[in-house]
Amino acid sequence: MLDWRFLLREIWQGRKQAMIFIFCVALSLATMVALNGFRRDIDRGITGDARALHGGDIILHSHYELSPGLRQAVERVQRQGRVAQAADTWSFYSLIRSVNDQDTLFANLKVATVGYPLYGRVELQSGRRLDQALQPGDVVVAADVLHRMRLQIGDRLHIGEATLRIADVVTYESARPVDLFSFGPRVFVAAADLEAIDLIRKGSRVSYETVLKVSREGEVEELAAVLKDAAVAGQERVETYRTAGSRIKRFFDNLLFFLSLISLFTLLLAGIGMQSSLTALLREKEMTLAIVKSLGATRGFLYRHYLVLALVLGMVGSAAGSTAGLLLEGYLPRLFAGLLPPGSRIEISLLDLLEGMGLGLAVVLFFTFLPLSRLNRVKPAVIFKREVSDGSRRAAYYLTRAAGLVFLTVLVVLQLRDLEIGLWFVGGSLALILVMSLLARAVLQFARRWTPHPLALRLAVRSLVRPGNATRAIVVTLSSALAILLAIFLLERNLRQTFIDSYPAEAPNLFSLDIQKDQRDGFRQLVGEDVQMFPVIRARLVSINGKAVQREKEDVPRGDSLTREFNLTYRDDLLPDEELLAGRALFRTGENGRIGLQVSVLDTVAEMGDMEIGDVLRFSIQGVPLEAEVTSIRTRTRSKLYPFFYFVFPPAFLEKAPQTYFAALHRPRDEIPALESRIVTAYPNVSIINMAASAAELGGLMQKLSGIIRFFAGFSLLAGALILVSSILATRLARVREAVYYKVLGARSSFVLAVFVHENLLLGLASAIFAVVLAQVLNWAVCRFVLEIAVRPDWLATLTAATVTVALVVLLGVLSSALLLRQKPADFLREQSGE
Amino acid sequence: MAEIIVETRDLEKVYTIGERRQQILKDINLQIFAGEFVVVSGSSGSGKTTLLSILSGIDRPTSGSILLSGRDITGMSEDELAPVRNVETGFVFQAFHLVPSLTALENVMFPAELRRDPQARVKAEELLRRVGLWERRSSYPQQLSGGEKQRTAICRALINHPKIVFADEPTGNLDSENSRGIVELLAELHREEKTTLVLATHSPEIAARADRVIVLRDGCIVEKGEGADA
Ligand SMILES: Nc1ncnc2c1ncn2[C@@H]1O[C@H](COP(=O)(O)OP(=O)(O)O)[C@@H](O)[C@H]1O
Ligand SMILES: [Mg+2]
Repeated sequence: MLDWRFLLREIWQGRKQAMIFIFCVALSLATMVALNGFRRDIDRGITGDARALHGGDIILHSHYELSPGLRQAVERVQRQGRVAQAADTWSFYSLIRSVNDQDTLFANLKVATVGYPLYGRVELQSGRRLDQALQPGDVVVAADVLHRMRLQIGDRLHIGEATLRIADVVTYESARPVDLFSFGPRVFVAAADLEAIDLIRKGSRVSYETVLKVSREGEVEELAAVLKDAAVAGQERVETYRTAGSRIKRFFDNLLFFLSLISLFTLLLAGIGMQSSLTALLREKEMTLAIVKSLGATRGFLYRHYLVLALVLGMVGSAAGSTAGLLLEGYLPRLFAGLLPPGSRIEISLLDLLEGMGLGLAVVLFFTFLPLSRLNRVKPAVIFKREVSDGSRRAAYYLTRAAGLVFLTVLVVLQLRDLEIGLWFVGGSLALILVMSLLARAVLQFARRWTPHPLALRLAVRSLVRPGNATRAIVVTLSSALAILLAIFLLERNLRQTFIDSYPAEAPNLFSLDIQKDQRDGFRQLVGEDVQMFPVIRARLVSINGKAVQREKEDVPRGDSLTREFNLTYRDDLLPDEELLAGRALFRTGENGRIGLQVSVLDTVAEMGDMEIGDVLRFSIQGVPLEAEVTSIRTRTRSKLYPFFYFVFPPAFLEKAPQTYFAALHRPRDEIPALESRIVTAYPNVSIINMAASAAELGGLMQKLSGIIRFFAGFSLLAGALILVSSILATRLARVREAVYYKVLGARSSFVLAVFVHENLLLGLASAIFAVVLAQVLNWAVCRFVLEIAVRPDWLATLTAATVTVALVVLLGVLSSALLLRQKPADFLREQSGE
Repeated sequence: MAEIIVETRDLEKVYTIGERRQQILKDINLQIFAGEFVVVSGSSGSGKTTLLSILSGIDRPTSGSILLSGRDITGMSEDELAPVRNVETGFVFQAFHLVPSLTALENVMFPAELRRDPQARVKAEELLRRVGLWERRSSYPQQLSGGEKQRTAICRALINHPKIVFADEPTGNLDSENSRGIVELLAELHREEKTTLVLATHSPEIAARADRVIVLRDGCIVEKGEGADA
């Protein structure tokens, strides 16, 4: 049975550590609960309804008009009545102009047939359906188009060759809930006007999509399979709403997954905090426990009571953590502002709260198991010698550890919903903690033998290696948390540097695509002689050394595919941002001074296809075969946003092939809009990419994301701070003792303070140095092997982070130690003698 | 007449626990002379420890004053007391109170190092050699026996050559053999260094070796007498 008075007294006596324990539990849950709830909100509001996201049951996607085979297959199943409804869309970017040609805007055009979307909604200001508003000759535009071009409903605008009337304004599109990756506002055009605008020509970058709504729910997969058979592999994608990837969904999935990883990491650190505060609480109790035991209390009695104690505290912490989590969830829409559709709602449910409590109790059980097992090791004999009882570690000890690990892994896997990554996470975290732990142990080992001359410093070193001190735990948690935080920060800076900041000032920032052969000279005259023009020939890679290029079985989310259509070009020299990785020159010159048919490949594509110098690549240019030997491999030295060509040929062989031109030029940012306007007026079919604007937008998005990530990672730092405070409290007795001894032996309080400052300085320095080393290693590894970008260590930021950490540790440590200085020596000495 | 090292005037100490006021010391007027060996005796709870800690500046009286070498230390702040504790007085505790994170040698050196004495190490080594702890100089307190701890503590109390050493039941935590050793050591140091020694004990055996015995009862000095053996 439980003796509640005993229990309450125990809690009251250890109330400071109990508070820290509760904080740790709460901390471990808060971000987790917030994220889980937020994930559900996103699911409900944005990504949950896959049909609405894709607009149909089956989605046919291509960069060309549907092939005759697929078209016939669709018609066949339509005739059989297995398709209830179908709609076609053509999506592409183009500049749109006001009628007086004064204002232009880069817009995301979607030409749609009647009936689109088959699922989900396109909400219009007037409340009408899209196909009601979108009559031939009309367009429906995003509100942004109106105010950026100073237009109103009823005004006209030029799109390609046509002049169309603005009929309505889009307020929400379930297929595009957030504007994350589009570089222009939406404009809907009726399919009837497709020919009139005349923007779709050979070689244009258009995304063709046909969405189908099946008649019988159960037939989705079966029909998709039928259509897949009819599709041109590698060119046409046939997917169902279940399998089709959505960029938005992938974006949120990845972001939330990453944030889950960070909160799991926080949980792990907070768990260590729970463990250390409970251990401290029990250690303070050791004497009492021994006496209670010697008076006949059974092991079961103690075990039961302390387990209940941990659970009671755990419940309080879980409740606090879940509540904090829900509050945090309410704040997340503000944190994610700009990434969520306006008016997104947060629904806070009892379920979230219960889930949080459950998770909390599981975590508490896991992390309190070890400290509680100490209870078994408390022997009544402790009364006679005041030493820390540290019984032998038996098999049972390791068994509980192993069981705990399994439990933790299950928890992580459940939370991440991914076995492999879950295992990696647990393994990685353990490795991280182990490495830190070994480093800390090595340093402590050294410190034990280090006798620096200044007295205050020497005493500080000695108290750090003092037995029973949690120095190692503090250094490990603090530096792990800091390392992760710093690594994230460094990675963000590296990404930014690579993609945005490194964009050379004088490099081209305006690109034009799809310039037809007969437009080339005119275009050059229009924009200026300094424009660089590259021919573009569209082709597929058929085989490498006679081995056919296979379509990947699974769609690789991030990677490029060898089966897609490539843009080939021809020229005889390297671009300023290119370097040769292999081969002596771009092309090999024959003995007669002539250059044979060969190809230079970019390192990234060479890696994808495992290509080497001497390999023979076979291409197909609209059915015409072309075989060339690889004679050089290039790499790019500058910003990855700069357009590039995978395959470069010597000019002689491709001049006759059907081609368009790609133009690159540099203009000051504020001159670009006017120039864009002139280009599109003269050549409506030409697509334009304003890289200056895109880079700025991408930079904004990245900044937003890293803000979010830092916000979450900050919580793990809080766990480190809690452990620091817990340890200071746990070693309070030893510290007071030292302070009193120093004073009795004639030290001034400034000296005692100096010892504390030194001690925390060393602690902070060690943590910061470990963190910096680890963060730099992580940064290097991720940049090098995962992101494959140039590594910059960014020492200034690193140094700042390290300095701030050290300052915080010293401040926190000295503040909590300073209270100890007020202890009167006489009282303390008396208490200590009364044994 | 020898120089007066410690002098008290109407010393009182009162503890207030909640409502209850408990007077531990009252009307203590006392003079201790240079080179004297004074034993403070009295039953447990009679106020010996309280008296010694007030005399040495570790604790403060409720009223009255203490003069150490003619200087009034009663109103001094902690920081003003620091050099007094460091140089002028030495203290040996019943419970040793060695700094647990320092070795025996470092413990002994500590007060000398605090005053930046360049000879700290030499002096400490010499003292340890003298008390037969040379071999154990690198041991930590928890690795030492009670007697060894107390010998280390005595060395620590002596390193700055204080004018007066207070020892509060230095043998209270030791067995009889070790006790005898410690008493011998203190007596010898007193004899050879001419250190003034104030020792609290309730052992008549030790009291017998003192120059003078002060007996405390109910907070008052009830008897000041010559030691049996002078
Ligand atoms: N801080 C304190 N608060 C209340 N009472 C105290 C305190 N310190 C000592 N006493 C009381 O003062 C009396 C004298 O104690 P002490 O000087 O230690 O005696 P002795 O050393 O002779 O055994 C004891 O009754 C003790 O309970
Ligand atoms: Mg006493």
